Amino acid sequence: MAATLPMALRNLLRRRGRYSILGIAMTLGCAIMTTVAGSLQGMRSSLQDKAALYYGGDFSLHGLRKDGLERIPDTALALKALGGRDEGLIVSPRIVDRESSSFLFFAGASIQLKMITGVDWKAEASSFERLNFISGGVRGIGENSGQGIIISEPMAEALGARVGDDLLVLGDTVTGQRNTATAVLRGIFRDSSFLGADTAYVGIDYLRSLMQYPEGATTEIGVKFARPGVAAKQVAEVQRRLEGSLPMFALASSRDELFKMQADQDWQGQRYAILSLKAHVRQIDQVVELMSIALYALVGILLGVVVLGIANTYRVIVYERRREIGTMRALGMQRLGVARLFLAEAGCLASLSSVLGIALALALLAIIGSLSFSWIPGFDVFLSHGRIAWYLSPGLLVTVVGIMLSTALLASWAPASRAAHIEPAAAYVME
Amino acid sequence: MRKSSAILILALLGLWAASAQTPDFTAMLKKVDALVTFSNSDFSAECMVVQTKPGEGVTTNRVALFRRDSKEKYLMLILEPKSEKGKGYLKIDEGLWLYDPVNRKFEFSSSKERFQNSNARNSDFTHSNFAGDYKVTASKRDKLDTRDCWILDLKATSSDVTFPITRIWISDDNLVRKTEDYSLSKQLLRTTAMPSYQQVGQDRYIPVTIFIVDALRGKKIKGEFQHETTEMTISKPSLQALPDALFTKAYLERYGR
Repeated sequence: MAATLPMALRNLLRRRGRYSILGIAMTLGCAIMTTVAGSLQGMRSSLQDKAALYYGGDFSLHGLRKDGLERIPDTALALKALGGRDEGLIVSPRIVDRESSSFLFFAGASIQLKMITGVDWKAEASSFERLNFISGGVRGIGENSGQGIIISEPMAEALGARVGDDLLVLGDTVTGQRNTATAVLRGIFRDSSFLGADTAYVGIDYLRSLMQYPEGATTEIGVKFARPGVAAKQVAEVQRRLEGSLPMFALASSRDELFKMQADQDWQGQRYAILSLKAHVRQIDQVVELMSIALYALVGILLGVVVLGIANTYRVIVYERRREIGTMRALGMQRLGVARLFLAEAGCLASLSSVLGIALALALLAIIGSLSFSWIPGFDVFLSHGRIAWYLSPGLLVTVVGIMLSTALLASWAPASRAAHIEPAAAYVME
Repeated sequence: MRKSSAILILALLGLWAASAQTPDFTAMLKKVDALVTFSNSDFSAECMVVQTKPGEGVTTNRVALFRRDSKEKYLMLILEPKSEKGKGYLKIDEGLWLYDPVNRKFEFSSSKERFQNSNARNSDFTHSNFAGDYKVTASKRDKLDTRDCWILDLKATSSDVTFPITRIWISDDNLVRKTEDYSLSKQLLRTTAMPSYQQVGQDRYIPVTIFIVDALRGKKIKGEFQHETTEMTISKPSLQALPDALFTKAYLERYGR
């Protein structure tokens, strides 16, 4: 057993001509698989980041009334129930006008906003710095009465506005009256996706004044976990804790499910609900899942081709080395030893190809990561500053190497088994 | 003592005289509303809505208007252009419904919404209710062209109105000649002019033309800012009784087919 590995390595080096084509194919297969996986992981991570910004964190606490009004009437009470840093949470109250009837005006041009969000700039400005700003930013936006607004590139283009321009926001108050307020354009971010393209961000006090929102009330509280961990478990813990002090709905897996609970259940007055980031982005997640399945299916087909290649090549190798096998058997090597030798050779080849494949993947990912994909409509949601922020987790690398090893061993199993059954005398007769 | 009493009496007389000259604005607003409200009969007319967007051209809609003010019902039916024909706005009960004949669907709308993306609001097609929806916060006398007018600043007392603050020019014949509509923060949103009226029936009036200038929307053309405008011309007014079926969703669906 101890001699098998050195023998396998020696055989590989001696027959590098024969193994090189196979090695190249396996290296490319590994590189493609790693590049795809690394890109998908990065895209998923960017989506999570953007969604966290859009929805206020790892989860959000919403106040709901039976008549459909979304409001947390006493934000201080809700914050007290949530806890803060002591409970490992970073909280940020928000006023969000979804399905907004607000308009932005500049120099005669106007656009309708899908959503306008009032945020606590002091608490959230650092998070917003992660947006891909093409002009301006959020530095200092919370100062000087906080009348700054940030909008997406498509919105700025439609208005013909630049950073520093005064925009007029026309919106409805909570009682349905038209109100206006001026906001200084402080930043323009690149986002043509559905998350950010039609959304504007302003200070929470600015929006409260525009909408005449009651003092002390908000629509939701965005919450981030201070310590990384398994988000689902952490959300469930917070839900359990809140159930002790606030009238809560059960955890919903999506916004639609929450609305259904709100409509179907028999209840009155005020209730609260937690929506995790996963629940918010459930539909997009399903799209990403489908995308991943399709890409992994393609990789699977590629690996299938590699497996066939390995199997065929090994069949030829076993035939070519039958005399050698016969000699080893004649010298006393058992069948298991022969099989182990060929499997070890395949394993060594797979390991070497994995290392080279991962190195090649890193180079490919570096190239991909340097390219801008913002030109693809709606693709911004998967990008970080216009680029794919690829990521290779240790778990992913272990998985890739594991797949390569299993693929090689699986493909070489039959030929190795056949080699093990070659009788010494028969090996010379086959000549 | 006698001197101070005399001064006091004179001051009181002066105040009384001043108040006697200041009209009852609530009563004035009620008269204004009454002149354009058809409480005792149905009303129908044709309306040409011409919207001008600087640099983008002109859009024209021909609309049939049917009103039953006593029941707070109205129907606006688009007759032209062909692409919009069959579309309708139906106000019944507390709701305003927009019917799309292509999708055969009703969508809940609001009287505050813009009519066909013009500068007119759906509420512009029905009668005013200044007395019920607003209170007077300031008043003065001034001229509008050659007409003497009362200029009243109004603040909404109801959240159902489109504009929370409005300024209206009322000529001495109790007809509204001009309005300026403002946001809650007193930003001018639009100006509406009704230079002339046509009499309908014995003592009711309808504007001949309503001219609306959007204060916010427009474009700079050759260095000069030109506002978006909408001109509504009302013709063929009639007080003929209308069938009840006209103010139903079923009618709109049948017409749309």
